[in-house]
Amino acid sequence: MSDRPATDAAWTRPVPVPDDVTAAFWAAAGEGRLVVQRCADCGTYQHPPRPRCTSCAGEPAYTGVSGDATLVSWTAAHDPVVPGRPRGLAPVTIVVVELVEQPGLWLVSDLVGVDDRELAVGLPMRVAFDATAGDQVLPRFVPAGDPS
Amino acid sequence: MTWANRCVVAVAGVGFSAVERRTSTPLGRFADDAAAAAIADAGLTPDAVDGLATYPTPPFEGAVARSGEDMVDVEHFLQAPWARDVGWYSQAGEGMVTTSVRDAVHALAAGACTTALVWRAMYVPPGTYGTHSTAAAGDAAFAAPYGCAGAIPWHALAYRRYLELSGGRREAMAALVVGSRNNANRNPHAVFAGRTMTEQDYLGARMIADPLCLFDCDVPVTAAIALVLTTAERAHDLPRPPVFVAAAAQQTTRREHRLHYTMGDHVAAGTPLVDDLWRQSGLGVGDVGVAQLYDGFAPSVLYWLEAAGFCGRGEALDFVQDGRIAVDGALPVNTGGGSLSQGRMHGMGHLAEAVLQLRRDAGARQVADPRAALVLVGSPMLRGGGVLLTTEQL
Ligand SMILES: [Zn+2]
Repeated sequence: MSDRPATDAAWTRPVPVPDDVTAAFWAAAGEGRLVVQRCADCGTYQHPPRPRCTSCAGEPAYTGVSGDATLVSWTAAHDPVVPGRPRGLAPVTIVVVELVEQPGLWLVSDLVGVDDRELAVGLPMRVAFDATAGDQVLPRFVPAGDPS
Repeated sequence: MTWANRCVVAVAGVGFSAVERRTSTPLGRFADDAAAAAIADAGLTPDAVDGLATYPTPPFEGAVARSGEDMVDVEHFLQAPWARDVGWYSQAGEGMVTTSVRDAVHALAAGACTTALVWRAMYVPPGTYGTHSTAAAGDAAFAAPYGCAGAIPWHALAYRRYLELSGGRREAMAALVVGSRNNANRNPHAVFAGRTMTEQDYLGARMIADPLCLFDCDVPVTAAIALVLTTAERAHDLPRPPVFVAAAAQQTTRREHRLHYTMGDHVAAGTPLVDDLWRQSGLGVGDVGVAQLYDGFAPSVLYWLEAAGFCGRGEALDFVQDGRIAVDGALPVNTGGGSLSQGRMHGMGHLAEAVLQLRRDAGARQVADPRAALVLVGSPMLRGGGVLLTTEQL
């Protein structure tokens, strides 16, 4: 799969709008770091971010994570389902991954040019910072066995 | 403990507008037709209506939402010349039509009104269906930039994992979808009343977001359906056999995953919802003679079957084979064609079909002898709900 394009120039991805709760996530992504909210009181990770810990109402703080994950689910989405993607291109494979730090700690990502027959629940994945939406670097996940 | 409002309120009338795909006729006229039909069906005149309840939200992003044109909210009927005596209304922002039914039961039981009109009107906009924003704020910032926006990928991700974990094959869904179309072919209110579907049609349909193909997605329509609810005491004096609201519950369970649907969230939300219906009514899964299970996307029916306990976890694709959910099967499901084939009415088609079945007014698709109809509407992302209707006043 070394011929897989890491990004897809024809796709104008919707641009994340950082806010008071999420700005630190996007700033870290811009530096090539994956951070996730973790509760300072009970230690639970949560994503997407919330103003408080949804387990104990404690204070969440962004914490660096390994970027290692496993595949939870995927779908090859055809146009016009995918926002900002011109018609006629190959489908985008939207994926959900579970970070190794905590069961149920799921993030959404995508794969472009992947052969879906290689995918399976539990497939090891790793984070990459190889795509942008506008000027924002996006954390994405690729199969851990792929060459970078 | 059973519900204090168990069978205190009954459905006394049901009415349908014409059903179209795209049309230049304002949606308010469809709603007017459905309301007039429901009120006449109940043997009443419009001035008897003193309560209004709906869930008016358009189902697509970018909707303009003009009252009476592409949405029908409470304001539309408050502008009607007959609506001078309306003393109560409810307009749900989440929860879909079962929320409106539940609100109306509470209002009628409390004496806030005596005759409530409950409706849902749906509209197909011109041009491309739905628009996407170029910016993604809030939770969407963590999903939309990756292509994950809207109900289609949300459902596809849940369905893929369901198939992987259960060992099911998407081809087996043909039984449910073709069966739904067969039912619609016997329903004059269905947009696909005259269009048949074979298993080959289903298997040849184009992919939308695999494993969801085109025919796993419901069909958008422009139409309105209305119910008239009143107290059981009054309903006994009206011409139609009363259909009693034996239970009505709301999904309130918190979702573990907010960026897309999951099978786990559906069961976690659906099981306590259905348990609440059994507790309120005193009935159980074995009492259900016909089930109307929300099918905005076909796999939702599988999740509802499992959440309600009609079969075990991961068994629903097997359960729907061999005619088991057909009109003459062990558990008839979506006998009017559901959202997949009657048309996307966000659950109001399911409610109306349940009423017709219990009144023995379902014509060529009538189930033999249903005493209780289970209606489960929505999905965890939409805070759906459930209603249990009965022919007898429990
Ligand atoms: Zn905590």
